[in-house]
Amino acid sequence: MLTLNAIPFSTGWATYRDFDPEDRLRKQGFYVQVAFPGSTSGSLYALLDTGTPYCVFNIAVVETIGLSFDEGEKIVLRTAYGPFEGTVQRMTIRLIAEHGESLNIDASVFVTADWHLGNFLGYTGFLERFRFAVDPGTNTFYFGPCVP
Amino acid sequence: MTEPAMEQQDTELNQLIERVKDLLGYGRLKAARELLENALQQYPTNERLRKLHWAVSPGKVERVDVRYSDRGEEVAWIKANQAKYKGKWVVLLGNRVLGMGDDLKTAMHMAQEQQYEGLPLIHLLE
Repeated sequence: MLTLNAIPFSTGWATYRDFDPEDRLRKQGFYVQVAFPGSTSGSLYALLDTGTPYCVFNIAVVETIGLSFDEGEKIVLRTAYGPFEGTVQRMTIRLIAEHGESLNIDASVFVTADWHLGNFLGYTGFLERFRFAVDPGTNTFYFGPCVP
Repeated sequence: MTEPAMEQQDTELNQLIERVKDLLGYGRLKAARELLENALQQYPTNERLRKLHWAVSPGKVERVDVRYSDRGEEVAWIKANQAKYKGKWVVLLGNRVLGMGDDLKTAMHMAQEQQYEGLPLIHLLE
């Protein structure tokens, strides 16, 4: 695990992929594996996107993990791909560790019936809620809670 | 509270919620959260405000003593079969295909009929 000033910084780590395994022509970046505790669906790869406020998942994934499109106040999210109507919901996302411990993180997820553009893990609604570091030399994503 | 005062309160509340929704639409979660926290001091039992605040508040981060594979076998399978099964959803565990279909529900249904241990990977082959 990583330490910072002799204090543990991370509690788990995993290999990230720097292409979307679903579509190699799609945006390159850091793709990490996540799962949904309580759901039997499975894990999937999602893009770490500091330019996105929320986590957003493909409509088929949303249906499989049992989120409702009608739960909550409707908002219109302005994105680089245009406006999308949906709701902001809270759910637990598991950041998967290959070594050390995984993390269950309460995330703010934008749920829309119109999203077919892949799976995104956003900044304010997810990434800023824990510590992370990246080693591009080994494609390693280190993570841990802010207070280990 | 008199009826005109209640009407004014409803109007103020609706305007406030619209401002929150507008901020959320521009991805300004922190500003929306602050506005909601202030509003909840004035209207602590309002369900719409409470639900919105719940959705955007940071919540918990918990360590879980579980680990999973690096998906090397699954990714190798995807690379080898992506073109052949383009457009299909697949549920993989190692190089074993647990389910495949034109939609994720079909693929998941097939997978649920199999016997396996572990967490499979779900993928859309594009």
